[in-house]
Amino acid sequence: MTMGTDSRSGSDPIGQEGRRDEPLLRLVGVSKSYPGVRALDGVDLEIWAGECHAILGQNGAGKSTLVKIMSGIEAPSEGELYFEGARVRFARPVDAQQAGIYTIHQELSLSPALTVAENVYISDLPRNKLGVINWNAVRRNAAAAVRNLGFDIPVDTPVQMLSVAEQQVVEIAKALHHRARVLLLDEPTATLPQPDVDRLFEVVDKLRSEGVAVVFISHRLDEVYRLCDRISVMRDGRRIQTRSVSELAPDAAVRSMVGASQVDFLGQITSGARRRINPQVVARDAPVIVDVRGLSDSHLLRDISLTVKVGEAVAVTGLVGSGQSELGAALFGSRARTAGEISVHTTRRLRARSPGEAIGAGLGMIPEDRKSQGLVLDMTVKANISLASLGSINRFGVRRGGKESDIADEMIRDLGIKVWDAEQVVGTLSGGNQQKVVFAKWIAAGADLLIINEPTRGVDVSAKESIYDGITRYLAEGGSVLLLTSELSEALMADRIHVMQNGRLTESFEHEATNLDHLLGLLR
Amino acid sequence: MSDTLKNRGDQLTAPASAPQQAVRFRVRRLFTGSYVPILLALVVVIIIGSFASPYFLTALNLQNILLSGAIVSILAIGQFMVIVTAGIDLSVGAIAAFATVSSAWILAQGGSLVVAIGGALVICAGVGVLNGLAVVFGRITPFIATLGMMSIIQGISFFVQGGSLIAITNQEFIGLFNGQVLGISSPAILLIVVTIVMALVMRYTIFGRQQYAIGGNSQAALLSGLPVRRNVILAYVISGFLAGLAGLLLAAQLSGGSALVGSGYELDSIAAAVVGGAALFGGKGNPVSAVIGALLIGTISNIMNLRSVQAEGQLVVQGILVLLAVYLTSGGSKDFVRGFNSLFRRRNYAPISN
Repeated sequence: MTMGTDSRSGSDPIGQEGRRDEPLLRLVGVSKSYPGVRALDGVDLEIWAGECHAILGQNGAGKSTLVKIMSGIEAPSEGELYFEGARVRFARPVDAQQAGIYTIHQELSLSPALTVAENVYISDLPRNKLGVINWNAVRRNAAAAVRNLGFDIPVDTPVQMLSVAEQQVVEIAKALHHRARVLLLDEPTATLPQPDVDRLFEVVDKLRSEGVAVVFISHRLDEVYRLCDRISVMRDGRRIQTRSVSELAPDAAVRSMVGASQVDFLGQITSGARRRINPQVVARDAPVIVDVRGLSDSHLLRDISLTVKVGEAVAVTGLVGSGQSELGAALFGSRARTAGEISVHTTRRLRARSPGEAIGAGLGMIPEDRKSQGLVLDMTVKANISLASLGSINRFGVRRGGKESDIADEMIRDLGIKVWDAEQVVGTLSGGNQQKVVFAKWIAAGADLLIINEPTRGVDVSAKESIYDGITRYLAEGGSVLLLTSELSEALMADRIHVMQNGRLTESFEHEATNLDHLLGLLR
Repeated sequence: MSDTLKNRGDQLTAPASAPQQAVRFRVRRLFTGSYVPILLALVVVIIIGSFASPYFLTALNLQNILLSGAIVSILAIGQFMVIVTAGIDLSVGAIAAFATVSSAWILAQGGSLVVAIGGALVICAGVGVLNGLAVVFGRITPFIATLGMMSIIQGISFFVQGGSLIAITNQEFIGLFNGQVLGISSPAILLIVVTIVMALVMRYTIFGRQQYAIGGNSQAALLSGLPVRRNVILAYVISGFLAGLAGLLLAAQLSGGSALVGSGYELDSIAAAVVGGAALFGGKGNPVSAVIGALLIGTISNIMNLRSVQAEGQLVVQGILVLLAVYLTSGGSKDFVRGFNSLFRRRNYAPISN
């Protein structure tokens, strides 16, 4: 062995030493660079037979790149992979599968119209001497394979009729049919209701006892601690640590995921006054701009009540997937709700059936993904800025081009958007400038309350600062902000902070009444 | 720390030569505007035509091109209005045929000229409403929704028509749609009017801006409060209406109504819009380019007619033309297009970044 076992990889919880001296799969110094981004940076990782190995990390930590490399979708830029001690190179997913590494992606790769049996045997249907498929054998074996996993699914059913959990079982049966040794489960529980999660976990336990290695990618800590033996924490493309579950307490895991950078950043400020994004202090009896009562939807949100006062910055934070984004969409009318009332300025009730209605009431939304939801990339900066306020430049249906240009030029000047002129196509701008254009759109539309969803995801540090500056300026000019974010340090800049877990608001604090340690303690 | 970052940002404001570069940027945009390549192509084809045949540049021949191109061009404008929203309308040919049948039928029943014209146009716009409803509320993909409508409308046309053709004897009708006004043929006048109106609508109205936004990114359009559903339905209504108008021209040329005359026009109109630079993903192109696209195809086939090229060969050439146009605008020719654009770019020009 050229590489010694990393001392940080922890104790040996299941005693592989006695069984084998080689891990099933070993990554040595694996890096992956895309233009401008280093997605993985020198990752060492060992996956042993019979273990369930969790990979934890925030969005953008490198989990999905790691999965892509282990499953042969992408080749590493640097570093090596070893399977049972032998160097392997995966050019395509098929190569990884032939080695025995199967990945169950979030998007399942079954053929929806084919039956369970056909899907399991799709690549090697048993044939008799005449080349005719032996359907009886297919059905019999597929039924046995599914039953072996503790499920009773009729194998003649087209898979599109099955629940997501059952489809996952079919995928697993297919993988086992091909003698999978390592099973990568990429966020398998993201779309599963609780009883199905339990059934899936029984399957994983069974596989593990049969010596299959399971790699479990998730950001749900409770599941990781229920299911797994070891945890590797990823952050900023690096593997931060690998520990057995008994050695790494959940709050330490969250701290490790969220990152030292944030802790340092805040630690430094908590000694003095912590940064506040709102330049003014909002009076206790300031009028309420938006009042949400008992909001629920059919999928995730449960009984959410909150208010935002005029001039106030309120944050809703939680781990990714807790429901912050869904809350924003429900408020803005782009997501159906099943219960609850939203009133704006105490007088106006929002039926919130459409974003148009919300915009009319003075709301604006800066979406999580500006490229797919915030901007029309092929249109000019000017056209994007005026998109939500076309009514104000409407003269009998004709667009008042002069007024439109004036507004756009004013916005470009005020927000410092770096362009040659307002006619530049927005897709050619940098990320930070594109975000400013989205901002400008809502300022031009005269929005009183901005719902800002994950404003700094995927932008670099300097752009982050200018986005925070933009929020501060918007607040200074009398706007109100509802900040939806999974970055705790970002949430902590707000006047009031709500904590969201599994679609509920669990706690809420004034700016002074909480800090990072406190929030970290709550979020596990 | 944030201060240093901000300062660094400020230093990146455009240097002293910014106005110059901005002007250069605008000039470049002028030459790479979406209508320029297609207009150049038309000019090239006309030059080739003038060498190919001495009759090509005669007034009579040019008027012929315009006359036979008017119907496809009007259909192409309607098709463009749907394509710009990232849809497609396969029913335009059937709707045009339906307009010939219904106007002829109304005239045959003794209906007045106004009723025949108005009735046909209203019915055709109504078919557009159904298309739009199927796409927006039925959530049927535009391809399938309009394919189904094509079949339905064709069936109804045959049913109304009864025999093989309903003759139109009303000379007023024929004069209006296939005659001359002030010495210019009326189809050409209609085409010019429709082109100008739709070009102005797309360029200068709120509605036009909304259509580009909806086609460019329907999600962003919805989240900016645009009436996405209403406008998508309207796109199909406009397409249906213009198909009806094209049908009236067709009826006047034929002196009758027939369910058979529309077939093939749906593909011709799509080809014209695409050759004119409309992207099937939506959000790109303009009505003028769609008309130039139609005239380009019409001119090429006119040249081939003058050189006595067989119909089979003409089909092949038209197909190649469509593929070439799509390759240049949206296919795997990004490098080619970039190379073309770089002809207008100075070496020291760099795209702005943060």
